[in-house]
Amino acid sequence: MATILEMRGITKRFGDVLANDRVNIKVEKGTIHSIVGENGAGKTTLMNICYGLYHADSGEIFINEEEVEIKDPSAAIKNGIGMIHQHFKLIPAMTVAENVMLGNEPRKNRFFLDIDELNGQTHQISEQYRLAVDPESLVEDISVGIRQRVEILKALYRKANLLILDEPTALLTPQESEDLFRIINRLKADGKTILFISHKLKEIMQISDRVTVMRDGKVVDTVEKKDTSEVKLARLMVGRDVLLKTAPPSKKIGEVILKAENLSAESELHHRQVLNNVSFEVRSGEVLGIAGIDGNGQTELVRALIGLQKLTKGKISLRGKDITHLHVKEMRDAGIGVIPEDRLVEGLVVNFDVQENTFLGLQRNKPFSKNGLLDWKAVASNAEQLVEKFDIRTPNITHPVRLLSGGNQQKIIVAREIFHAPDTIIATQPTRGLDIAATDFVHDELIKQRDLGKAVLLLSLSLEEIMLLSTRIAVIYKGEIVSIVNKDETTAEDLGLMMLGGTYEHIPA
Amino acid sequence: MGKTRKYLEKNQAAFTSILAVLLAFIVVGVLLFSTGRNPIEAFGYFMSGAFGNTYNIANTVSRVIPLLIAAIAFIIGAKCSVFNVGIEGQLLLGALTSAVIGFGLDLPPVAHLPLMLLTGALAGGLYALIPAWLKVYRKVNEILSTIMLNYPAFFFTHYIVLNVTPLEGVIPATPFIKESARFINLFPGTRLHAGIFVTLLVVLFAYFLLQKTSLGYEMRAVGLNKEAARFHGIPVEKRMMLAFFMSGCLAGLAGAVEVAGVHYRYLDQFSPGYGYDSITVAMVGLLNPIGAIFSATLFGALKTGILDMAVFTAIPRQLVTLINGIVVLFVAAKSMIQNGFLRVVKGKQSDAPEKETA
Ligand SMILES: Nc1ncnc2c1ncn2[C@@H]1O[C@H](COP(=O)(O)OP(=O)(O)OP(=O)(O)O)[C@@H](O)[C@H]1O
Ligand SMILES: [Mg+2]
Repeated sequence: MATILEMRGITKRFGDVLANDRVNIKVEKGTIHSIVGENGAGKTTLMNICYGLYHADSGEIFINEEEVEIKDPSAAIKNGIGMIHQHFKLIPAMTVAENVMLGNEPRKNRFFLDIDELNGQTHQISEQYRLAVDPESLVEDISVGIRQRVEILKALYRKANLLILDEPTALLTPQESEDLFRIINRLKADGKTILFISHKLKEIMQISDRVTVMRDGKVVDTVEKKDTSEVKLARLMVGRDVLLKTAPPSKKIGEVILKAENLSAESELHHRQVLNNVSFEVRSGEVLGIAGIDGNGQTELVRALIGLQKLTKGKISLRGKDITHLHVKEMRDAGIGVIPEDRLVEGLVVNFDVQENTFLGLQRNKPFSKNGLLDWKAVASNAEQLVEKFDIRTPNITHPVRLLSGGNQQKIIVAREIFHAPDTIIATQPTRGLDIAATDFVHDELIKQRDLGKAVLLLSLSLEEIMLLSTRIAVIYKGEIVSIVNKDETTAEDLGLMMLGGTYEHIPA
Repeated sequence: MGKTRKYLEKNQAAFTSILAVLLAFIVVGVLLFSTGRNPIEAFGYFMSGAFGNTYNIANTVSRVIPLLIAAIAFIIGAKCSVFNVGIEGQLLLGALTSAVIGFGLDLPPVAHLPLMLLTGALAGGLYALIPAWLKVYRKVNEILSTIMLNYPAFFFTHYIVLNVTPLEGVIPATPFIKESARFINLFPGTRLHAGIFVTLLVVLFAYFLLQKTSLGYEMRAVGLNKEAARFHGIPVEKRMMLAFFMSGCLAGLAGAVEVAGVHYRYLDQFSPGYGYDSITVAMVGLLNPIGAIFSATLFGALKTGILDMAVFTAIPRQLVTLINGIVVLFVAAKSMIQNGFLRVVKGKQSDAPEKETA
């Protein structure tokens, strides 16, 4: 088999951090090659080097067995490399086709944009790989999953033979992930090569031909899929055995802490009903999981619970106290902690350093602030503790958060919210982008908080995560809670059906 | 070697600023040279004009005062995502208001000077509330609105001085302010006055506010990520209004200090564009109150040093404007300079420092 990409002895240092340490990797043409590794292992760095976004301190890159110098992304594109970033680089106000062609637009008479050609070519590629995207729809109107396909289309249009996908499934629903895998397999059948990064070992085992495992900037091993298993991969990644365990059941369920009654809300823009009579309660010592397909009102529900979404109707109470009309800050001070869904937009100020982010939202609370003055000593000692306890990989606490790896950014949020929420934790996708060890750790922490008598509301697109942690499960569909069931009395299949809108007779009317 | 490298890398922003200024000087030098003048000699006159003796230093420092206060005004806004380009107008209104208080009232010095400064600041602050409200509640871009609002301020002060306040003599100006409203002169024969202490207080205030208080932290959070700030319970709109107001107040204060320390009256068109220069000063100072001290000193020196240079080497004074412009250009091209700088420091191609990881 021919080698399409070989990276030899790649080393990359950021200040004191050795992100890649003499990395060797060989990718065969026409295969799906995965890279796995803990948060901060150096996967994204390696891919960025391959795509010309970073430059290795030393090492060589070979494309089709010829040494190349990739000094910027356009050189990478010339060499047939395409990269689909985790954060899409599309222009929302333009159509799909315009985005795809951006920079290489077909012209008529030299000066005029050839719109028919533009749409035609986009349509043709979309058909060829059955991407099912409409060239003429606006990017702002399409879902995350489809946006990702537009990125793939863009790479294909630029004649990419090697596609790099960095955690493509982190933002996708399980259904969307399945669609993506079908597309990836079609690309492979067509002779394209895929480099795929993910923390979900199940996915890795499902689609890869070969897996490279990284740890601390080094390649630990490259194995054939058929010779390995989830457990073996996990061991290689972490360096020890990782138990794929189940969470212990709730011990002592107490009084109602968080209660939502008939919450209804409309979207600001089109006055569409986004929440419709949502009612539930979360008791001390339990985890209420909210299962549902993305975009069924989860975002609005969370925003409503912390006072950011206007309600047309309904009441929220915390320990029996009406908090419906409190301001965000007051809601949070009343005892609600939130792990938001988008870490870069809502969760962190990425241009702040680590310690400044560890007390975001608590900047007026003790011990960080006294009489309006910040106590930087208290901030630093708390930050040191969180870094230690949550194993946040950062050179120091004054390192800018934007320079941390994705998983380590997420750990900062989880650490902050778990440690300062007195009563209720609303966790939205708490383990998005986390490696298996960190995921495990966060799950343990959430269970610990539950057993400390806190109420945990868990929103996740992963049914597995919901099934693992929840005491009870509510299914949300089109802004309505269609059912609330005990975890032990349901199955993933039942839940899956309800998430799609199918209901059961035992659901109260 | 490794250590210096690391140090240079760590403080790349500061070095880039210094580099931008140096490059600007080099370009000006080449310009002088190509018009048949000796740039080394010219630079010598420039330095001695700005810092050659105590008199010159005192004069330079007196130029630093309004620039520095106004630069802090810009910084306080910019840190909270408010780009107040209307400092010039706010400064004029502050100056006029304080002059009116200064000549119109009779008070003991302990009350008169502070009151005068306070009203001047307030005038600037209140005027800034117009673009603040437009931005925060009506989504009007503040860069446009503040630039435009400089004109009404300019013509209003012009009108008041010519038509409302009593004219003494032929120069369009208000009457002189009372002795009780004046800063004492620190160096007879120069323009250096006790306002320098107010200036230092302003710098300290800004530093303290931004670094040491919850409020300042919130303002910086708003400046860097509004969504996250909102999500974490920071009242984004209120903070931006406040930042705009503070920025306007400091701009007004800069005007009032000029009146109380230099002119002792409102002199029509007294400002050579302090409000606009302050933006460059703030930028070169990396939007950092301490950094602004250095850049304000540089720009103050430009104003005094160029005078000597012009006198002794027959260089037109317009060159000041040119140098200013060139520095602005180089500061604007900072990321380019920064990349080049890093390339040299690291000895190879650099990575853009702002890249996010995922
Ligand atoms: N631009 C940068 N500046 C400084 N340090 C960086 C930069 N990019 C990455 N790093 C550091 O390099 C290391 C490797 O980061 P990288 O993003 O490659 O990890 P990763 O394997 O992709 O992790 P994750 O699974 O969390 O996404 C981390 O310690 C990170 O903090
Ligand atoms: Mg990564």
